[in-house]
Amino acid sequence: MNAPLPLLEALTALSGLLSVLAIATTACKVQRALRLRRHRRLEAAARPHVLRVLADDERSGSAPEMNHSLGRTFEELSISLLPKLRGADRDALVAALENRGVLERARRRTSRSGAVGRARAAQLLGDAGDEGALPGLARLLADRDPEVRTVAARALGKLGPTAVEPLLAALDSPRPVPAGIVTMALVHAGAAGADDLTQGLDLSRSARVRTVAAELLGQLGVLSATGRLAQTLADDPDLATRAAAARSLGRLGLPEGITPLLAALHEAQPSVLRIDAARALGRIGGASAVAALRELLVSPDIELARATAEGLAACGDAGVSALEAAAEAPVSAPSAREALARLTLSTSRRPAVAA
Amino acid sequence: MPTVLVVDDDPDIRDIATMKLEQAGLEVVTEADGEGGLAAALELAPDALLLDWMMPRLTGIEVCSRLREHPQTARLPIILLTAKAQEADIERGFAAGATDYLVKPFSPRELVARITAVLARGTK
Repeated sequence: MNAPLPLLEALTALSGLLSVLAIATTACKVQRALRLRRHRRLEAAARPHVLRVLADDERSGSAPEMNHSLGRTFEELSISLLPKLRGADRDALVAALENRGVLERARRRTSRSGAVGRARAAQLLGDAGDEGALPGLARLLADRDPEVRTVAARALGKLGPTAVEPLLAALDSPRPVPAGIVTMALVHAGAAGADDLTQGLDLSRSARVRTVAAELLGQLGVLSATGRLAQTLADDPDLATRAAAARSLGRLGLPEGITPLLAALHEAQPSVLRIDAARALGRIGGASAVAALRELLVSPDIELARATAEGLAACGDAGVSALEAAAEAPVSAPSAREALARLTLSTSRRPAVAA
Repeated sequence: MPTVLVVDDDPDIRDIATMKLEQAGLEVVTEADGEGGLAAALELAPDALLLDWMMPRLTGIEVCSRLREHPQTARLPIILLTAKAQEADIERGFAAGATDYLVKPFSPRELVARITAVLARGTK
């Protein structure tokens, strides 16, 4: 029995369409494979030029003349190496990119319309540690695209201390950068920006800026900020900022932090502040810290009692003796027993050092 | 000429380390993963080993620990080159038997200086 004519026509059309699709797919795959092969060939040709720049002891960043495609691949390869290197060799690559006009193009691209282009430019300028790009990157912190703002913040962090002030200001921008991103960027910028961070504690700044500044001064180990942090702990109107100052005083570990922390431990103070102060005192240690913490082991505030016990456990032999005495007392302190149990557990879990 | 075995899954790091170490007059052999690195270290008995931490098949830490258990490589100078920069990571690296520790991003010049120093100490 013969198939009806329209069905045959439809089948013919369908098979024709499938053939065209198959040919198009194969052509695409071949084209992609050829493009990849060409890219690999160019990369293999560019790699020795990049290595030659790194081998140059004079760090001139001079690279030989290259045709357009090879030059582009040389630039891409050099850019991809920047985050992997530091020191004089990285500087040589940056000089090579500067000589080829790559950084200047990136500086201009920070003002272009495409968000992807702006973000890529920001990332490159950060990886290159290009201080000349600071104004452009600072401007991108208020970019309409949140991804660009994030990339710009990370890039600024790589520029070092000069980036501290614009990064702190970004916390109060109408288009803010998440505090976590700014904090990480500031950590990257390092302790050399301590002066600007300390100024961030000034009461003329927002509470958000003061809190981040207080936290970072401790994390970055800025010992010279101890006095200013003590003042913030005592006087700042914002509780989160005071708590951050307490934690930082503990991290810094100087005895000058003990008196303001003891004051923050007073029962008139908010519970969250007392908890941070107790832990911070434990980090610093000393007889007066142990004596004050011992009193709070039986506090009806369970979190405070627990933080106090943790603090004592960190105080060394004197703190552990206080915990043992509290654990065996007629009115036993559960927090003391818990801290002692944790201490035993952590000691037994400590990895053995290979011989 | 002292031989340095470079084990890293990143071809860029292998190339840069090779170029710099050869420039410093050292012979370099490379491997791209932990298993290959372990086998090469036992077979070639290099004078120093530059070892990445995060690698396919076998991590640098595992390679390091296994080499320390082997009499032939128990005293081989091993320099860990890794992006793991936390205090606890560094502690773990040395506990596994590393001789020295370099954090990525790294300075190739510093790398050469450290390898030259461990070779001069002759701890093999």
